[in-house]
Amino acid sequence: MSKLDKTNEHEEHTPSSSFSREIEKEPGGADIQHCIQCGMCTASCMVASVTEKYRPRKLIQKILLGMREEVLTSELPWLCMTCRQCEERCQEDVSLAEIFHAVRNIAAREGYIPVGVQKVVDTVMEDGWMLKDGYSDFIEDDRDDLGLHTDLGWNNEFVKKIKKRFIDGGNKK
Amino acid sequence: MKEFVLYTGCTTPVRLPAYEASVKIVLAKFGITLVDMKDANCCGAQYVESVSHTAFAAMTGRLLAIAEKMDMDILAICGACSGSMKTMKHELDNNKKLLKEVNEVLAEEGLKYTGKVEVKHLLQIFQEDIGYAAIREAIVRPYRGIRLSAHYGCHVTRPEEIVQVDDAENPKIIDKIIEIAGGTAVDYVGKTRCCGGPMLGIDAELAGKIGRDKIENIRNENVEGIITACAFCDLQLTQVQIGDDASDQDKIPVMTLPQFLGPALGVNFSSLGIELNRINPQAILQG
Amino acid sequence: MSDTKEKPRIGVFVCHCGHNIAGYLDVEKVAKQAGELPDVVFSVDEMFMCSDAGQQLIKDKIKEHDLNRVVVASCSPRMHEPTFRRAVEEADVNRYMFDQVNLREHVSWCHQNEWDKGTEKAWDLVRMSVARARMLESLPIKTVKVTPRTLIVGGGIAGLRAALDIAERGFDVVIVEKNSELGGSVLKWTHLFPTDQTGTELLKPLIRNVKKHERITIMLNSKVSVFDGYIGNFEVTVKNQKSGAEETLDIGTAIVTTGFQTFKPEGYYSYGESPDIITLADLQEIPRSAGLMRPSDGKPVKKLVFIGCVGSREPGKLGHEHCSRSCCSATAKAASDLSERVDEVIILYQDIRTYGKGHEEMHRLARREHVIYSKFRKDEKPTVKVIDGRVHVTWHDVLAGRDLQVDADLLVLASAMVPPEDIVETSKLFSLTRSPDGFFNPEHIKLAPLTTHTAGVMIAGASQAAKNASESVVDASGAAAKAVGLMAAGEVEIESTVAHVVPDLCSSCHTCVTACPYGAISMDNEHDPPVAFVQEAKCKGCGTCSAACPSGAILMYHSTDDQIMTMVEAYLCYTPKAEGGGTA
Repeated sequence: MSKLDKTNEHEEHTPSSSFSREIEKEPGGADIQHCIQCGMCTASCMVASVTEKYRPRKLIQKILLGMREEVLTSELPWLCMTCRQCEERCQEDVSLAEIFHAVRNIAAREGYIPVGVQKVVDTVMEDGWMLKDGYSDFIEDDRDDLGLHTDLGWNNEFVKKIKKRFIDGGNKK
Repeated sequence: MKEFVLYTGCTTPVRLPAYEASVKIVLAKFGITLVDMKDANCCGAQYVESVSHTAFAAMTGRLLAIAEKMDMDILAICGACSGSMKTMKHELDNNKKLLKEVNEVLAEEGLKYTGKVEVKHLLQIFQEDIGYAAIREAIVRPYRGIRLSAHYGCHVTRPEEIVQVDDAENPKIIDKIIEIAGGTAVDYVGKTRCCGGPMLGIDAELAGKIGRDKIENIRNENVEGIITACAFCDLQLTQVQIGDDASDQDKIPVMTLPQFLGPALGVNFSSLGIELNRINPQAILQG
Repeated sequence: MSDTKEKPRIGVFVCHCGHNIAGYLDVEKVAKQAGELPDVVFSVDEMFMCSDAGQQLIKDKIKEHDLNRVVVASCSPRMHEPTFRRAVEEADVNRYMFDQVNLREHVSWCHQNEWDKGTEKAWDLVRMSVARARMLESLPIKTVKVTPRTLIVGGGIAGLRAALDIAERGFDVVIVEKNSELGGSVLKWTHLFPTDQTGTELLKPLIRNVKKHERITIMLNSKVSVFDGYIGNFEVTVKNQKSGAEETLDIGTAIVTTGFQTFKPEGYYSYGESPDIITLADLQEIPRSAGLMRPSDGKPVKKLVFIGCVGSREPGKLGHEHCSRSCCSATAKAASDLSERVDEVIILYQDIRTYGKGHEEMHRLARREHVIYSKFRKDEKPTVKVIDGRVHVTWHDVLAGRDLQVDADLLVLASAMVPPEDIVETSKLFSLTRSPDGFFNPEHIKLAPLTTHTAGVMIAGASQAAKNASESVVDASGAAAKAVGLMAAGEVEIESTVAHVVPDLCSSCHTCVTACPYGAISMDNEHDPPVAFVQEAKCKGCGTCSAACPSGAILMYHSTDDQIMTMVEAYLCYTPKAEGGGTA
């Protein structure tokens, strides 16, 4: 992930509301201004409990302060597992998973996607599903033994169309 | 006779075919038939969703439209797929603009989503369509009090207002079924926490830490097994016990709910694919 | 009126107080022993003396046994002395012929595991009280008239509200205001919260009603110069600051509503080094207009920055330790009002205290209008430097963990609410004490927040503590009700447990006059030489004068030397064998 993490911790940043205004317009980002920084999300977050670098509240505050470059080029928005524990507990009903998805969408459009994610997306949009390469003969036999059909019948035309229209084609919105 | 179209998702058919098989057999015992969804695509959860919301909407929307064409409600057995389809259904039902955009693409295949289809997760089938009374009646070989902990999965239960499967902070469905089948349902610290599965593609190390945390909390309660209701969770909780960073302690068997319930209903082990479980679940089955 | 000549007939009532007292000492034994003391004609133990049944018992036994002194051994007199005094009075025994022994706070509550010793102590205390009861004397119940006129010091929103409340109930009011117009601080403000009015709009109907009310007299450009007398009968002199003319008034009650001033934060955040650095109060006085302009060059403000807690909440700095309460809400309101007229609004805060009705909604509204809230740590405050006319602000955002900076076009400091300049003068005038925050002390912060230790003088509004205008109005109505209560009664009882100078013994040394903390003693010039004279309505019965008097000329009613010495003797010189008297 060399393209990401271009943060410069030592420069002073001037706060601006333009980034959060941008997020507000993305699907899922509408509630960004509802956050009152109470910290309930971070207290509930499993990722935050296993690694020091990820603090959802901090990330939201950075968005509210307008630190666009830093947030979009960072790996942090990709560390949200979307488990939604924070959402259940947020007193303002903010959906962090959705806000971070909005951030990721913008980041993706500007070319900042973690390698692991890019790989999966490429596979899905090509094959129509994730595990075509993983469907070995052994597994086919196991399925047969269990009485399950072996031709999984995934459609790969639709995804190619979608990729052209919404992912490659500069992405609307 | 109730009918549902079964959407397995990408993972189950390849990595957990036993789950697919046991779902079909167990539900058949209660008079529910499942029709496999043909010509489906990945729902786009997590990865495509992160890259383009519209692409994700179109992919999941297609699944809803296919089911609508088949005139059946969807049964999802993987948590991520269940979460995607339910939240996307909710969004499409309330966002006319997005619905129009999605239907425009679907129209090219003669598909359309109008909101008629319902999406259900396996746990809802047990609670709503079968009912605990029917399950109780169908038990022929009850367990003998074996101690088991339930892991529900994040996308199965949250966000509660949209998915409406169980109480997100205090889920009970799997626990009830364990008890009805003769087991002892045991609670543990962090019951509603994530298994770490979604993190695998991004940072496998963190995913492992999160999964191991869950296993340790369960281990503290001295149980014989973990019962799951999502393919991803089942694989993750198994993998963290087997992988390189696993602890030296005894492994706790992980088993999907229908695999657990099956024997109590009189279904033989091999049809449930028990031998495919990577951590030997003999301890459970003898309890 | 002394009753020491008649034979004492004492009734003793020992209260169980349920389990509270009876659970820790032998109340029955104490009652029985008390019954064997000389002059005790009736003694009993009872479950709850303060109940209707208990009070009725006192009245019944007074009649039945012709009692002329009553001792109740129960809880603290602070709890029920008035209750029992009332009971004995209803049975035609003077209330000062009653004495209360505290067996609860002084025995059962502090000696919970000492049955025998607790009982012994209770017995000692009851014995002492019986000895004292023998020596008690009736005292007259005195009242003073209350002049039906209230003085209101300070014609701001609190003063105006109080004035109107009192006048509407049919009493006269005099408002003394040092400025040339009514309205105080609120009048100057162009934005209020949570309603969206200007101060002038808000006050207009109030001022109009005050001005036209026939019972209200308004004295502008004036200050109180002399405040003498006592409750119900104050003698007040008001001086016009411009003309120098003085006027005297007879006043029954007074309400001090002298408000506050805004702290000028010199030394904070480069205040004073640029015209673009102003206080929140200054901002609230800027006339309403379509745009917000920089004071320095009149250009439109693009970046508006607020800093909270300026001169407030600084532990160790006297007069600046308190929270000024209204600023967080006022800032949120100002920020959301102005957010559309500027490019960015940034609020640097230590905490957000938007506690009141409608306030939290303003806070959320501000955030939804893209006001940026950034938290700084209290030991790491922002720094402000004026560089080439630019107001350069730098700080560390605690929640993002980053250093931030901005060149503010207008920097607004939410500066503290502090007491007005002449507060020392005012407090001396009305004998009011002040709390560490500098504002006036109420009589009791919870139970009597609007009255003071100077009977008949109330405080209300910001003069009592930093607060917003709505809260000041609540205070005002409360204080008005207190004033009306006194005036409607027409007269007020004064305590009879006061000091008394025996003129023949007085040597005119003036020691007591200086010693009295309440200024209640003066010299009576009708004697030659003049002798000291206690103004009973002002006396609080503290005993300082009596202790100070070198001639022993001052006695304390209800706490005479005899009454106290007999208790000491009863404790030390007790013999079990009762002499003379016995039970009836």
